[in-house]
Amino acid sequence: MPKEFILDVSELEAPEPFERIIAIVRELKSNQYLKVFHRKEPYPLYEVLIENGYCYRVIREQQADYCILIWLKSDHSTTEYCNTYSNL
Amino acid sequence: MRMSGLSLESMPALSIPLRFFLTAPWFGILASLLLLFDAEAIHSSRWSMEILAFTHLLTLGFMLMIMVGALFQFIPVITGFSIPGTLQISPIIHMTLIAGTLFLVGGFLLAEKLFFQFAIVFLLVAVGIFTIALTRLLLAKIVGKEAIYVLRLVNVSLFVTLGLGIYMATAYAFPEFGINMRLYTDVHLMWGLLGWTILLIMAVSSQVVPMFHVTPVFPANYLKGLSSAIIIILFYLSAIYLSQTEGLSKLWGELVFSLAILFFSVYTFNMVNKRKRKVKDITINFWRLALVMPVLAVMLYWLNGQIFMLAESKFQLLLGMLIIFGFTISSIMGMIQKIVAFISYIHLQRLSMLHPMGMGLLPNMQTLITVKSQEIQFYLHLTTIILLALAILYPALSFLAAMAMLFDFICLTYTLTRCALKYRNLAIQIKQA
Repeated sequence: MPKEFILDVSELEAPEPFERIIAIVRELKSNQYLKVFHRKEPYPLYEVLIENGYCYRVIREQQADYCILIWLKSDHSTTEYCNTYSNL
Repeated sequence: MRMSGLSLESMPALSIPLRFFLTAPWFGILASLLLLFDAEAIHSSRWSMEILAFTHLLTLGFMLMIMVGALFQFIPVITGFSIPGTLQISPIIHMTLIAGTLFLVGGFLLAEKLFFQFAIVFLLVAVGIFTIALTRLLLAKIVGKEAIYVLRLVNVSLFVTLGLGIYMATAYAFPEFGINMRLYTDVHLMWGLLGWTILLIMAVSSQVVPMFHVTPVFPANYLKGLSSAIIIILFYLSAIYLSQTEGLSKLWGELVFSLAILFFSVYTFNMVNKRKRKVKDITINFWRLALVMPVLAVMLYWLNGQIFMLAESKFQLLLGMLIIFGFTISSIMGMIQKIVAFISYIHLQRLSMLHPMGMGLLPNMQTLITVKSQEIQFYLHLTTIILLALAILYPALSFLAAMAMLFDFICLTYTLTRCALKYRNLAIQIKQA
């Protein structure tokens, strides 16, 4: 099971959510993913993630309005895990 | 999820909104210069050519220019889809809006019908292209985005406002047609100043306020309910004014509309005060200042003749000033400083992801537009509002009011331009790192 990092940015004002997410995402390695709790859907972030070789999935969890999973695109085992997680 | 014909792109190139944001304050400067050199004519009557020129420099040149730029930036951020053809149409809209506004203002000041004819053509192109492109996106089934519902109504009110405006410009451009322009003036004013501006500020604030100030999300029922009520009342009052009906029908319509405006102001003010992080933020003061203005305008409207005894011309000028300068321009000034700093910062972040060696050059967003400059802007703007109001009552103060307004817009021009130049220099350094 990949290692999970959790980040709650739901009470941060722009651009802090973006900054904090990017800071952690840059350090992600294989077999790791970031779970972000956010109060709105960060569309501009998605483009940056895709441009830089990351994948993301948006799932519903009780803790926040939006929960976003982010991992490296080249990490196939984490891709499979996160896809399964998001389909639950 | 991909919508047919719509492009999944949530971050337009920085140049697209920025060209509108950097141009707009120059129209504020022109309006200030007009007031500086021709205050007497501006204060003489709401029908004077000078007041019409002054008003349209602010409403078209500043307000519409900024709002078009904001929508190009904004709609992709909240929907994930860009306005169709953004790259191609944005420079055309920008240039035709500049030309149309300048020709319209020139027409008012020089009483030259050829200027009005050019203005009609350019403004039709600018607004036509924009509303058609926007309509295509707004008609798509984008679920769960209440701001989009309000923007649909904004589009309707913009269409009505500008449609009436162009129809009235035709009266100046082709006087031989014998168009009874004055019948439509109040309706045009109502749709423009109370419909379009309030609805647009409602839509934009519902996104910007929670995003930048960590307030609760504006409830869907509030956004949809109040915006729908405003549009219905606008259509009702338009019928009343055009049929020149007096009496209870008109009174009730105006009363309900006033209550809707009051509700919007109080509700939004309350939401702004619910922000979770109580970090000092000058742009919050712009919101608070802006939201007091509709309340003052409603009080003035209903109490003039009872408590206040202003002559009709002063009453109308003061009312217009409260809505245009006090409410709309205050809201815009607060928002635009946040938005320009934010989008510049996000683009630099994006660049640093592509050029990791330049990551260390990434600035703190606060350095792009500093707290100090925001403070100066706020106090300049507050001073301007007070002096403009006093100058309407005591015309001897017009020179001071005009100078304050000039500095207000010069300061904004300087702040936004400086941010853009900082962005440009940092972008070059990051790419070269």
